[in-house]
This record gives sequence, structure tokens and C-alpha cells, in this order.
Amino acid sequence: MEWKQMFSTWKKIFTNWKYLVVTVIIAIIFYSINVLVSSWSSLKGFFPTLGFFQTIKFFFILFFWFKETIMFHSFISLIVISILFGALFSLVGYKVRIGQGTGGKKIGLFGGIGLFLAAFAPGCAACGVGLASVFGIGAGALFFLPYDGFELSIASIGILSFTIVTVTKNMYVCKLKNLNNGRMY
Amino acid sequence: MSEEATLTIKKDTLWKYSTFLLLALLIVGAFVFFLGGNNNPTTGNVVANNPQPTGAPSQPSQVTASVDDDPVLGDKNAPVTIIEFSDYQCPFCRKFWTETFNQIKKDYIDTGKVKFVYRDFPLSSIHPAAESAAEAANCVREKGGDEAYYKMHDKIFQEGNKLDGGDPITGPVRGTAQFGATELKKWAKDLGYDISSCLDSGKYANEVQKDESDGAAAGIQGTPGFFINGKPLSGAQPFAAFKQVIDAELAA
Repeated sequence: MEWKQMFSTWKKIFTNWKYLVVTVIIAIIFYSINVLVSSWSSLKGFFPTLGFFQTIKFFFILFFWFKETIMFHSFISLIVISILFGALFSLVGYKVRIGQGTGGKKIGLFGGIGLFLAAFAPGCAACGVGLASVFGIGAGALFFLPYDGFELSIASIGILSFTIVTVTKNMYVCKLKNLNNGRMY
Repeated sequence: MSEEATLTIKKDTLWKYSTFLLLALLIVGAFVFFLGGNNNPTTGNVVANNPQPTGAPSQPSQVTASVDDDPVLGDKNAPVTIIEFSDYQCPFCRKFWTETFNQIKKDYIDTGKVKFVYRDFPLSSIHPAAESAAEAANCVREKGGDEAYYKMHDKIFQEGNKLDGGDPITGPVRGTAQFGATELKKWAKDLGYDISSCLDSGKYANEVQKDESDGAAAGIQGTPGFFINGKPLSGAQPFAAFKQVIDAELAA
């Protein structure tokens, strides 16, 4: 599929308000999870004092101020990854919808790797954002990487972009795949 | 014909994904364990060497950061205690001072509701002047007490804003300000304190390192890191965030 055709496919999908809304919602959810993960200890710590609704309000303060607490390049990469994640989700949804009989979601191996990296160190690996901090791998842990873990974010952007292109290329194609020991999936 | 690596998420392929994710985690975990170093035996957290000034470290929700013998601003019997672990050369710490601290001081510290304690957490690997600045502030404290300490504290951040091309009080904060011992001595002199011999002797190096160790033990992974009545809050958060939690603590 040529680039022109791919753009045409993207145009077709993302001018449909349903897919656009899904993309935006998923992107916001992904961003929110990052804020939630990075603020978890504070939210948990103050929950007994604040109560449920005040904690929600507290979360929104942290949500809207999040960009001020991380490096600018980290914030930009987080936004890009969130949007790519949302776009990929919509593309997969569209593909599943038109791919009758496929019986499941197809995101590919690269998609899996990209999403893993995106989740692991999405915007600011060096800040301990993402799953890295969930696993107790904080700021110092990724310091051994030349760019303090920012390279993981770049890698996830690259892989997610590649996955989006691949998913789009195969959007209208039925293929025989993985002929493995005579089994056909 | 090229064979494409597309996976359908069924039970068996789900296992492949899970295995891959687990393997990746193990590899990263092993890498971090062996090369990341500086593990904290008390909390199990990895503590910053530290790469970036940041607002997003993860911390345990209840920790034991104490006031220690560090400088106190405000009423010593105030019902709420804010302990800040900070780095004088960290732009996010300066951002907090520029955008939030003065409002907290006006509304809560000066009114006796909050006492503020500054503890040092210099990220020397990326901020070479941070430790000297911390020592310089302690040298000033030796000469003039806590009040003098906070004058020097304010002075360092003000001068940082100027070096960063902004207004001393309002900033804005753009990046890391570069300065050294010469500037620190001059700034102290501007306040009326000669700290040359004190700073050159490294008299307060141990004090600064103790703060850093205490911060690490309490779960601090980046600066600025705060404990409000023992509960953690990370990063250069806005006044609204502090106001909400301080008010809740006052009401509790």
C-alpha cells in the first residue's frame, strides 16, 4: 500500500467521529494512567485525610499540572505516545470491525513491544513515570542509560508508529499467516 | 514470500505475549538490579543518583522523614509540618520556590499554621554546585541562625532566577542555573556573612550527606520531594495542591 493510500485510510477512519472520539478517550486514559501511577503514593497517602471526592479533585489538580512537573521533552513524548496509543487502538478496532471472521484483535508483535515500552517508560522514564515506577524502578534506576531512559520513549514512539503503518497497510488484506507445523492461524 | 509476524490473541498466543513481557521485565529488572546500584534496603525503592530533577518519583505513602536538626521556618508548634527535600541547583526546586513557596509562606507559615523545614538532597551527579550551595546555606545558618539560613535560601533561588535570565522573584524558570563557590560566598557576603573559611573547610558536608541519606531512606527519588505531616507529595506542584492537603490536615 502506498503512502497515499495509507493517508486515505487514516482520513477515512479518523474523519469518522466515533473513531476520533475513541482515539481521544484512549489517549486521555493513557495519559491519566501515567499521572495516576506517578502520583499514586501521594493520592494513597492523603486519601484518609481528603476522602474520596477531595482525592478526585486532588488528582485533577495533579493531572492538569503534570506537564509542569516533568521535563518538556518528556511531556511532549508522553503526549505523542498517548495519541499514537489512541490511534492504534482505533485502527485495531476498525480492523476488527471490518475483518469479519478474524475472530480477534490483531496488533502484531511490534505493537506488543511498542505498547510494552510505551507503558513501561512512556513520557519520562528518568522521572520514574510509567510501569517503571510501579515496579519500584525509579529515577536513578534508568540513569545508566545515556539519555536517562528517554530513549525508551523514543523507541516506543518509533515502534508504535511502525505498528500503525503496518496495521494500516494490512487493513484491507486477507493473508495466510504463520504456517507453522502445518497449522494455519 | 515473506512470513508476517502477526499474532491473533488466543489462549496460546496470549501465553507468548505474557512470556515476552515477563522476559522483558526480568531482563530490565536484572539490568537495573546489577547496574542500577544504590538500592535502598529500608524501603526497597531505588534511590536517585539522580538523573533528572523531577516531579514524578514514586514513594511509599507513609514514611519516616524527620525534621532532624534542620532549619525551621515558622512556628515550631504549628499543627502542620512540611519537610522539603531539595537541591539548590535543581530548576524544579527553584520553580517551586518561585511559583508556590511564597504563597504557602504568606498564607500558612506566617500565620502559624505550618512550619517549614528545608532538608538537603543535592543531586551532585547533574548539579555540581548543589552540594556547595547546601553547605553554604548551613554556613550562613551557623553565623545567623535559622532566619539567616532562610535569607540565604531565598538568595540562592533569587540569584538562580537572575542567572536563568528571569526576574529574581517571579522568574520564569527555564533551566539549570550555573554557579559555584565564588558566587555563593559573594551572595552570603551580600547578606552580611563571611562564609569563606566555613565553605572551604567542608564543615557541613556530613550534615548535607546525612540529609541526603535520610531523604533516600524516606523514599525520595527526585527533587523537590515533600512530606506534609509525613505524607509524600512529589514535584513542583502548584499552590492549589498544597492548599488542598494543608487545609485537610488542618481540619483533621
